[in-house]
Amino acid sequence: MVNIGFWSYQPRLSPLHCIDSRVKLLLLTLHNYALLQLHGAGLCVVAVGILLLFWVSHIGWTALLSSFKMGVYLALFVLLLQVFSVPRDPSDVLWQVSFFWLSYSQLTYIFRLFLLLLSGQWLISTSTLAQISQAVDSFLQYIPLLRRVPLGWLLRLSWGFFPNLYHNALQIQAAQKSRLLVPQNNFRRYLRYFSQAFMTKAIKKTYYITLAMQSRSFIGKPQPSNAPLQFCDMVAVLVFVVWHIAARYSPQMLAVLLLQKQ
Amino acid sequence: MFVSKPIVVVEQLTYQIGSHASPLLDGISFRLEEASFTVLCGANGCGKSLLLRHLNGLLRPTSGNIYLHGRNIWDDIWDTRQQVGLVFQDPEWQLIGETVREDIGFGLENMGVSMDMRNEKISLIAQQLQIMHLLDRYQYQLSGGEKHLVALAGVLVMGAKVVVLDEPFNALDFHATQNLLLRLLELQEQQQTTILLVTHDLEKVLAHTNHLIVMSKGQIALQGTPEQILPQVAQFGIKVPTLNARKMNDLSWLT
Repeated sequence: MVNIGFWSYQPRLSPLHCIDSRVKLLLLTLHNYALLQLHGAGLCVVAVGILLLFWVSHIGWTALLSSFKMGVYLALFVLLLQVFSVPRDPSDVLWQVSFFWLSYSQLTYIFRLFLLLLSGQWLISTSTLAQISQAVDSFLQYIPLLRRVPLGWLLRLSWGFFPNLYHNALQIQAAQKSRLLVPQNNFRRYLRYFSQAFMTKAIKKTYYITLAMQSRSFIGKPQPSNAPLQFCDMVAVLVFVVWHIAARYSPQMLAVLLLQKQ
Repeated sequence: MFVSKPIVVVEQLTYQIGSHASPLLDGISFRLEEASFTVLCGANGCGKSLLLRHLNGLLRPTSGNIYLHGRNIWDDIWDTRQQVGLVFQDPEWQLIGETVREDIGFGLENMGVSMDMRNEKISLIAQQLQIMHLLDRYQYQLSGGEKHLVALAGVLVMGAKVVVLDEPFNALDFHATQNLLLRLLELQEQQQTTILLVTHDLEKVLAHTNHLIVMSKGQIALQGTPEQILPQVAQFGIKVPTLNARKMNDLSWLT
């Protein structure tokens, strides 16, 4: 069996799984913003915090590896994009990276990218898609133009739809292989048959998912959560504030410590 | 327990695509008694799945009516979809949630049930169908039989009084079939759930069937108790069980 639970919810009994998804989503947004402002020691404090989050949420270190893998792909993608773009700061450009030399700015760039991914993965691993979609809908209800748009639902369904399609793609590939159709022989022919079968599956899947949703009373309205926040949510906010203050002022604290030593 | 009280009544249902094409379903009439076990069979392409979709309100008939508890299902389609649960032919197409727990709770979310109540109901139905161990699994980790049970749980948790299953024993092994059938019979007996299922394999369910409907070319060709119509079903391309009608109880897989 191929694991397609990539970046998906990990059901565990941990205090972090109990935090309200609205709080998690809000904290993640603030965290990502803060991450873009931090450098050096600050980023290291954030990294240690994220590792602690993973440890407390019992997600497992193998899940971390999937994020690293994705980080590598993303870094390559950014590299490719930067080849065609004009950078604001030449030292930020990844395509100038050589095998022997990485500038401090480039290292920070890559480190930040990985931390952003890990933070996103942490949210997704500790909240079900239903909870995240409800949280998104809860925030959207304060924006008049988007109040009636079931964005959370669309997010949830598309996120659930793609692993399914990936699973179907693997099945098609296996079926083709069993009938001796492999890309090595004739790639164009392989691609033609694969895309034909895949498109049919995708359309059929869309149709059946629509039917299945309808048959279970789905009417396409946003479903915001209005449940009151709990004590653990308040604790989470408090921990978050302390953590990020520590990250923000860590370079200064480090400097003071070094001065005292000298 | 077979009680003669109709819960679903289908009257002269016709379904047609385009005004000149011949109808795909033509003058279908039958009734499902409360807590009954009805089997619908017929050759491939005779319109069985199409008929089932009408019962859940996924398709609107061109003419004719369907009544649930004496009320036209289209008067309150919201209620109909809660009361009539449909399990698709291939449950893989039907599973929406990422994990089993999320999938079972999907209908309840749509009904606006609170998270605590939802979890309580999911646990209850999982215990009833003996799938507690599957709750935290991803849907792609399930076997065919497990997928059927999860799809069934997803409709039962909404409080379905009528469960409609489209070829549920397809591609299931002996134990998975036995398990699913056993769960259905428990529901029928303990919760007074009405069951309508489509199958090509009468041998598996005949011992428990109260009512048998045979379809052919979009119409109902035969209907009645298995004893009454079994001798005639062969002409509609259905495999007749080897034992005679009198010994029907011997066909049960569950004893």
